[in-house]
Amino acid sequence: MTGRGLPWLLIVVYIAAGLVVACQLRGGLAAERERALQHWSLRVESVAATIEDHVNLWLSERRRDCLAVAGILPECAGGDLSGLGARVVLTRVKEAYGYLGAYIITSHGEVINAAPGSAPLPDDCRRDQSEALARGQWVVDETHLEGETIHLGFVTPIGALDYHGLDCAVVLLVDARAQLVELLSETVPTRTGESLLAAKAPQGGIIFITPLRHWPQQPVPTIIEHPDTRLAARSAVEGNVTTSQFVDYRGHEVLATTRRIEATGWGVVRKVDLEEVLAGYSELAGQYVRQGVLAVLGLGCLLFGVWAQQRSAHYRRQLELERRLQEETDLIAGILESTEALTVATDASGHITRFNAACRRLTGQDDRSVLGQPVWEVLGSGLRAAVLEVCRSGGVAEARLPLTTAAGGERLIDWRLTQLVYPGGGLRGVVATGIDVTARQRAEGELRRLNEELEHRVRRRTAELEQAHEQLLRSERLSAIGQLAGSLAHELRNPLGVISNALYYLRLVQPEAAPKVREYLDIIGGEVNQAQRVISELLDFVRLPRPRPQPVVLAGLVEEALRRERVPPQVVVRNDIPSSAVAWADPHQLRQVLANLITNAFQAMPDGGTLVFAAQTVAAGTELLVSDTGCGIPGQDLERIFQPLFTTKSRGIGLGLSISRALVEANGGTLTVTSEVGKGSTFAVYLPREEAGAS
Amino acid sequence: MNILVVDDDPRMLTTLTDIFGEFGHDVTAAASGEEALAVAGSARPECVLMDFRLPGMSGVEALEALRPLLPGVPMVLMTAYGFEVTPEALWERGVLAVLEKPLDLGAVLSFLNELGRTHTVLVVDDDPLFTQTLAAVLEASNYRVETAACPGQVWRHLDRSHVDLTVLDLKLGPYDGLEVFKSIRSRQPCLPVVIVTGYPVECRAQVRAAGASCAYACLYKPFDAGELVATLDTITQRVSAAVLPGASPACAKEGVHGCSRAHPDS
Repeated sequence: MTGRGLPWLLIVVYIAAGLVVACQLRGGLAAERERALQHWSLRVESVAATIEDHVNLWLSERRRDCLAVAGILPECAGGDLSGLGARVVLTRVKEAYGYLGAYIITSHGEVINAAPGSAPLPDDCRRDQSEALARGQWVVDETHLEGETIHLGFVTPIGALDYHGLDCAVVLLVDARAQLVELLSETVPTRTGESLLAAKAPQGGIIFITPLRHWPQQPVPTIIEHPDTRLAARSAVEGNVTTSQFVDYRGHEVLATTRRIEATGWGVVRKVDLEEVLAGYSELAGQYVRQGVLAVLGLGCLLFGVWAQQRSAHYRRQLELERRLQEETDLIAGILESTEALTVATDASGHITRFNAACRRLTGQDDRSVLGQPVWEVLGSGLRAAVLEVCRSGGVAEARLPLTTAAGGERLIDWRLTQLVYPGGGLRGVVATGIDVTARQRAEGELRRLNEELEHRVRRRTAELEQAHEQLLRSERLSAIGQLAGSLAHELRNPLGVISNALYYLRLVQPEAAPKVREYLDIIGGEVNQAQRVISELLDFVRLPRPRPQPVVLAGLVEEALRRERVPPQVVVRNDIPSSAVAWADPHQLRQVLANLITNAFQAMPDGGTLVFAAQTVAAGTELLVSDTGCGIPGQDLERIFQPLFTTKSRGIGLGLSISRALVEANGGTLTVTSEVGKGSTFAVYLPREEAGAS
Repeated sequence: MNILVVDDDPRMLTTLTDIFGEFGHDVTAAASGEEALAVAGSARPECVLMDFRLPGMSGVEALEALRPLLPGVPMVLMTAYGFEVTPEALWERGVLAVLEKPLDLGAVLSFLNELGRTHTVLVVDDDPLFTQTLAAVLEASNYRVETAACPGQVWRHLDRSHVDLTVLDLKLGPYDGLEVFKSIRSRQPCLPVVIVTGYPVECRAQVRAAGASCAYACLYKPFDAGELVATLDTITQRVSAAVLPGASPACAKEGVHGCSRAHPDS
């Protein structure tokens, strides 16, 4: 149901419903009216029937009176109808039953006897007498008005007697109105109900026999002419027996029923005003109409409610749709505005139609200044070719173009352009999105540089690893030497101990031995000491005892080391170390190092020379320099001399310098050498000055 | 002097026996730790020289086993190795010195000589009864005893004769024991001094001060004479061992300086 179609449909339904209600109401009212008419018809009919019965009974009583008089006259008259006997009878009848007059008339119409006080006999009665005599039976005279009295005569032939040969008849004259008025009095009075008897007047008019309820002035007129053919009384006197709507003598609409009294030709009318008949109906009709109107109004309200509800639902839906549409629009706008990508839309000729926030930020221009401008004038001339290309051939165009920003800097933008088409097809324009790749490009450059640096580091680290590997090999070699030295020491020291003991004993027991013997004992002793020294060196090298560093006065330590060595006579020793020079080292181990260096120096100067000790302060430590003026060390041997088992000498196992370096390093220092072949060598022992430098 | 020498090399045993014999020492030779344990009880050696590496029981194990049999006897280890032995651990286990082969026989002999010498103890106390009884005990333990009751006597003894050890009572009548101790220290810095006192609480401060000045030990009266003798024996052994290469630093200290940190609260 659409919003617009709804009210029309509702109106149609409403009208239809209204029509139905009206029809129902009408039908109901008609039926109700019919029922009321019916009801009242029955009522008037039953009253009319009663009246008819009463009138007929009254007539038959009158006939019986006549017959009774006619019957008894022959016995009471004594044969003379005009006589006293007959008069007595007439008088008694008249008196007994209130007749106007009681008569005996002849067939000539001559009154031969009458009860005293009888009213003059109207001519009509005489005529009727003739007829009664002719027919030999009871006749009711025509009704006629005599002044205010309505005369009705009953004539009965007296068959058994005659008057002078003339047939005679008994006539009883009665005042019909006076007699019948009581008969017609209302038994069940209604507001407008009325019963009446009417007879046809001789001139075509109508005689109302009974008094009229609504005609208060008397006498009741004989209505000669009545304009309305629907007059109930006329219908009655004309002999119609019916129940119908008529008008009455007042001209009012009435429901009436008509009867006919055959004996007199009278019409009986029982009527009630139609107004009263329909009074209940009207009330009911009023209720019906009210209810119908209420029902229609209620339905109207209901339908209006339905319509209003539908209408408001429709409006709500409309609002909801509008809200959603707004949200959707906002979302799209929001996406467009918040994306970091430069987004610009143009028409088919490349003029800007949409320009998002990223574009505004970067270019520093606002919508007002750019909308309608060719896109290449705003975002770089390089875009022109791409826009035209996309417009012409569709697809996607890509371009990396520089863009001068509001701040004057230059950014590099990666553009992607696609066609924008109408929903139904047809080129609408171009959409271009741009990503700022300046930083990325910079990062790529940085990455490349880092990669190179990494490679460089890897190469350097690889070299270091190789070196470490070499070191490891060397230490493995040292470890093997260590094991060898261990067993070697045990195997050699025991026999040396024995030799040494034996030598001691020999010297002890032969203090006065020959000089040659003593010389040889000394030689043995010297060689044992040499062997002992080699073994000790070897063991020191393997053992490398943990240093116990302490402050060491270098000058003193050098003196002490020199005291233990035998200085060759051709060598000059000079100690230039200032007494203030102090290092942090294990004095025992440092002495061992010095002993090694001194021995080496002496051996390097077989033909004499100068051994100089010096010290200098460097960085966080002290450097002790031991210089000789010996043969020097060839360049290719400069590093190898520190390797174990390398030696250039005919004696020795080549451990001295490697042990020395190991000892110095264990004390947190370094041992290095500089040398010049033929001029001499200088060994530099660097040692930390403070404890923190010790390892 | 009776010396127990243990070495699996018979030539070593022979040469050592001969050499020590030349100097008047009796040598009991054993070729293994087990043998040494077997002969130790009967030989009653006054010194033990033990090789490090031995068949069966190792030298260190043998020394440990010998310790209960020979309480108070100085024990020296010999080794042809340098690195298998951790000297610190051995010193802690009561080994007086670890000697490397070939032996420095001169040093060994002077050690033995020093060890075998009768040491002189100067007992300084103003209680004649105490001095007398202590002298008897010490003389029974092979010490020569001098006594002094006042500082004057102390100086006389120190000037005139060689004194190896001093036992000093901190309560010297009218004299302050601590002052006496300090004077001894200044005159003979290397003289080991054992402090005794009968007033541990009153003398606590003095004892502490003495400890700070390298009193050797402190004993509280009444003390077990055996304890004093053991203390003096230990000092003697360590002082003697100072001549050996590879002696424990405690010996070296006592040998060079003749003093050590006191243990005043022990």
